[in-house]
Amino acid sequence: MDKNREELLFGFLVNGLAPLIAILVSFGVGGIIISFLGADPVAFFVKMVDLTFGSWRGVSQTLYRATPYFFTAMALSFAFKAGLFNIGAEGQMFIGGLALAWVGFTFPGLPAPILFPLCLLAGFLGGAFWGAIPGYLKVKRGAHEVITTIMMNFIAIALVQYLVQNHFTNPDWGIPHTPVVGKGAWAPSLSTFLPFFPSGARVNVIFLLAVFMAILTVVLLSRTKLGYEIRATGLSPDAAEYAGIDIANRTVMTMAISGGFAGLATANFILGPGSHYFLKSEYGNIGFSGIAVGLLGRNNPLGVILAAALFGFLEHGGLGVQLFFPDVPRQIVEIMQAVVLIILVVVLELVRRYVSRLRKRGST
Amino acid sequence: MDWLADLFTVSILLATIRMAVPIALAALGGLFSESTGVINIALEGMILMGAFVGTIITNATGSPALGLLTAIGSGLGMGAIHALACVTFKANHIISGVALNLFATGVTFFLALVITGGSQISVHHSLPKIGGFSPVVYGTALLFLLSGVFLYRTKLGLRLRATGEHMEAVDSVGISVTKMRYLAVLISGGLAGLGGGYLAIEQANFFTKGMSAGRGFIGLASMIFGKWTPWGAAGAASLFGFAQSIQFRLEIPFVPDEFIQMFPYLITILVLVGAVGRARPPAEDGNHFIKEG
Repeated sequence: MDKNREELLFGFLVNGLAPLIAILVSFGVGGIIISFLGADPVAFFVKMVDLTFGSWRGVSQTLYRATPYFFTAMALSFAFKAGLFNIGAEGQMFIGGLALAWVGFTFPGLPAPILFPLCLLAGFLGGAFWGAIPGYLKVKRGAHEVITTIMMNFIAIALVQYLVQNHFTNPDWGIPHTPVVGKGAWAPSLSTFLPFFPSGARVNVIFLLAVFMAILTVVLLSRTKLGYEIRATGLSPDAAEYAGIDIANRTVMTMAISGGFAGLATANFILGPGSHYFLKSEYGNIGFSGIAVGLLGRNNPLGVILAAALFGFLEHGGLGVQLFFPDVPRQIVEIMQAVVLIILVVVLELVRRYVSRLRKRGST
Repeated sequence: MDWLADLFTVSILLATIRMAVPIALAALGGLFSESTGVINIALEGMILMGAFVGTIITNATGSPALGLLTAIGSGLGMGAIHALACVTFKANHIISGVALNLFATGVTFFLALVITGGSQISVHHSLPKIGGFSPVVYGTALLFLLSGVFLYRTKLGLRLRATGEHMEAVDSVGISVTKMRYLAVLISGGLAGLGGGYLAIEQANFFTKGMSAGRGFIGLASMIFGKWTPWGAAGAASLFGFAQSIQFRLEIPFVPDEFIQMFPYLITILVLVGAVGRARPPAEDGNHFIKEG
């Protein structure tokens, strides 16, 4: 098999087939668990598809739920391009989200063209700051970013809790949350431009922002000097350094951009149709599940969009289907997400072995 | 300055010892695994799984001893998966660890919900205390002593450590790198599982979702701070145990509760930032062994 077709096959197997197999296996495992719980797995999944893609309202909800996963997944995937493990999406998401909300409720009078981008910028910078710290610690002191980012998660949770509870919330409210962000920052629902979405649709322009940032990232990584240097640092730090790249600077910058992505994850909830305030308990799984989404999307921004859509499907479908199948807890979705990840890790390795065997046979 | 005196009371000392146990066991587990060069990020998930399995079995059988044994077993199981992924399938150690953590978090939460309908399960029995401490505390001290002897004074211990330093050399004398790594990772899982079982059955007397609360990672930090030695890890784990014991007991003026909660995690970062410059991990940490020819 000639070189080009070989590369195409390799690419297809690793980036297309492996995630597909992992997804199918996870559905299989989910199906087994569902039948153990006494429900019919086929009916269960059919209902899920119906709820998510059977109506424009369903599609809206699916994309709405998918959007934050894109951002936290990109946090992991972007860092991965430089060979870094950013497990801190959770903390970066909280800090960015609080920063975003703070700008929104501190300057509520500002007009939309100023407030909206300002909030997004604050979210990005908040997450970037939180991500840059472990990056800096790694560069300066060799502290492994896996542990430092995880520690920063816990610190962020405590910090955000403190700030919201003691400085931002109103004692009259039941659950502590921030004040509502100014109207200028409210992200319009997609139903305003795309009439096939029902008027109450929650999917909003932040989803478009996600798609835009995916494309931007692909361009950045493949066509700019910064992108090249980041990828070089990831592929071989020594070679990159030898070539004159400032790997310390690129490492911190990568962690900052990566954190910035995560910082925007809650924009969907805070600025989009809904409560318009920051409520910590609403953002449960998104930080860590972003890891699974990133890996499933093969760390490629466009793949991540697809993987995020899948997770949106699982989440919205899983939520809605509970009404019809009361015996199956919503957490089955989390199980499936976790299974997908483990199977993917194994399948990727198997595919890699298969391909290297193919290659050896081809070159003799 | 009363609060300063409050920091050094007997009750905090006792709490320190109790809180240090899961962290110390995780640290010892990490140590075994890394002695052969396998990074075990999954300690966190192994603790959680041990806590959950231990809780369920203890309540089901009425025997905390059996609960602890199954907790160890669940840790061994997770260790087996991690070893399979990292050693046999040569997956990236960190990705495998993260995947296992996610898996444990999801599965334990899910099963807790399915079995009891809530996310918190009380444990109804625990082992009789000796001298005010659970027997596991003494067991942990013993395990540390035995580990020190095992790793530094026995042939097998030497072989494990050699695997972590130079896989080629070990392979060339006919020792199976695979077997060494599997053994180490299994022990690692078992220890973490025990830590989790202790956490739920003996210390907290309940299981709740995410109750490992970073102890697996703090254990890793202890291992690093302790320069990859059992006695160092024990000392570091005690320090973190102290940080955790003052978390909910202390009222330092001007310092809000939430900031005190951050202590263990802040200290972990400080340790990682300060200590790594002075100590080095086993040379083969994270590397895969690929047999030539």
